[in-house]
Amino acid sequence: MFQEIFAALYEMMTIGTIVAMICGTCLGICLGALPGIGATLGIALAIPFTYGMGPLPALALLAGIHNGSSQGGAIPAILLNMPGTPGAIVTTWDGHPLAQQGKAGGAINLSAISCAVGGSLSALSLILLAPPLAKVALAFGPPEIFWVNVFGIATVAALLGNDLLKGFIAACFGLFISAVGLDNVSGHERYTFGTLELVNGVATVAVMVGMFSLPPAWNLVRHARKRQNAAESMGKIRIVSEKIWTIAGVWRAWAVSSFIGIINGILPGSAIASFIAYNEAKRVSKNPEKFGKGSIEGLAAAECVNAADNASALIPTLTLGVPGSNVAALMLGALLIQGFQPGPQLFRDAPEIVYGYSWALVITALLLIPLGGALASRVFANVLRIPTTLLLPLIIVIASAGVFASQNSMFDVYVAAFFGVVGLAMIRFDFPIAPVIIGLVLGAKAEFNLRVSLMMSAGDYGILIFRPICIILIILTILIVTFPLYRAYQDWRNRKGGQGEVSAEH
Amino acid sequence: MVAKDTVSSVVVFLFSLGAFILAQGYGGGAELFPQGLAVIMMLASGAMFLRAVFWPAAIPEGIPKMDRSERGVITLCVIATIAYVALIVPLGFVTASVVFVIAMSYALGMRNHLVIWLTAIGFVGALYYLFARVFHTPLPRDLVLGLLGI
Repeated sequence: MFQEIFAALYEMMTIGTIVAMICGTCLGICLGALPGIGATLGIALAIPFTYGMGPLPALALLAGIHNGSSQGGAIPAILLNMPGTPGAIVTTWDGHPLAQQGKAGGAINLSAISCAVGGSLSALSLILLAPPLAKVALAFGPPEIFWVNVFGIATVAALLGNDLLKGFIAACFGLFISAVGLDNVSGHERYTFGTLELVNGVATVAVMVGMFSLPPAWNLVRHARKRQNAAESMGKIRIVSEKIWTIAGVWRAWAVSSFIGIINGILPGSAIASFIAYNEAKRVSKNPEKFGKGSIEGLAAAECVNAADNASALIPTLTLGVPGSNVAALMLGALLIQGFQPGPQLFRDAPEIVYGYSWALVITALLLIPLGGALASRVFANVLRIPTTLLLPLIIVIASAGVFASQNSMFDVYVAAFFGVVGLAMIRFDFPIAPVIIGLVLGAKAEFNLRVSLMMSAGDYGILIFRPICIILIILTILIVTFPLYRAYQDWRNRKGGQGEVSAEH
Repeated sequence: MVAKDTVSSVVVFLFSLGAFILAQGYGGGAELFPQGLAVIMMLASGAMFLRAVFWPAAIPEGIPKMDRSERGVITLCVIATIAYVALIVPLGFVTASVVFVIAMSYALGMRNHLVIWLTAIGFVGALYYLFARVFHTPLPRDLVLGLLGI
């Protein structure tokens, strides 16, 4: 195993891959710095561009965008009190007070180093934890793989939104899209309506780009005025780089938040890791009273945890083919586009790809120190001055060009536009988008393994139930599904209790 | 929130019912998976409808409602995007994109003419060159550039 890991590092050291990592990290920082954009939209836009690239430079570019955007989110959070990414909300609590004290440059530097620490530890956890898990998963047969897929879809549907029913409907919709086209087993055409372009199914890239890039781009206009006012006030902030921290002062915060971030990444669905890490860092700090008023440890914890779940979220994605986040789902799609089927067999069949990608995550995390520190505080912060009114049409043009180029097909551009509108409607009606993509990506595999299992047992559904690993996976799926129901019940009881108290007071 | 869930549950139910009926024509086991999904979706949408009607308090908090002007601007963006996508084939990528970027920037209130025109032409030109020369994937043939012999 270690031989393969180090051989992959050697293969990564080509000019093309190094350039891809540097460009990806710079691009990621810029995208993360633009509120409303972030890693998901950035990766969705970049995926079609990776068609013409080799697998390692392509994955290196995406790894750079992923890590870069984690740190980029800190720039507006520190300078403008405006989080660039959802994870950067906690960064504003101490980052902006530091900027107000004239320490903006130092705060951005600390955020870059904290992201580098969290991101690289997370990537190392991926390198060390994923291979043993993949080895176990290699023993799975079609029934187990079917349940792994169901478990993955159920996890995302149940935990990534706040409404179980809508999550399931969204996942089923994604599975439906995956069923369009020629049936792999019987050869029947399904839901093609006589359209030749649909015989091979709906292009995953078109759906991904349509759903993940168009609605956020359209929604940018909602924040346009707020961003413009904030960007105008940025000119008043004097960015001076100075060292405002010591390792002795922040190591506790880094240790706690890295651990929390890595665990959070492996267990999908939790969006509160940064809050937990911040509270834990405060608990172990020697100066908890400074938290919220420009605490160095608070900023270090917030930024470290943001990057610490990047690579660890890929552990279930790469070993089981089960993505636990939007970005992980996109990365799964990116691997499929490059001709690799994510799952345990990837570690056996293409170790240079999976370990190479893991190294790219380590290296791009470390690249944040020079690129996200000094450069970000002087150069990348200026992307905030790009007017939204110009940014919006440019994103749509990039998306259209990328989708067209992915298969040289205008039909895919129409599909992307259609799913952009569907995605916008889903967001307006409070349906989550991520389960659609995960259903789409896992659908064909789930159906194939279901039907192969039934062929193996001559139509006996017992094969899907009476096997030890299947039983474990079924129990886990039931637990995952019932957890939000239990949480909803508790919320309802609390609300009812609260109302009771209010009426008693009256 | 109640209205949103009621409407969306009806739409999902009708979509699933349609998908279920369409799948009846497929043979060789190809119908099983989509029909199973359709049944799950019908059950989920039914539960959503019942929740909206009988237990609205159980509906989780959704995204905040947009005001009228925001809705108007987003609708404009969607319509402009659809028009842009429809114009790529007849006009070509460069012309359609330049027109789209310029029109959208003005429509959204930007008035810095030099920045708008330079960005639109420079950015779209660079993108076209990137695809044509670096990725060797020419974007849809352009009407205006074709007339100019480029």
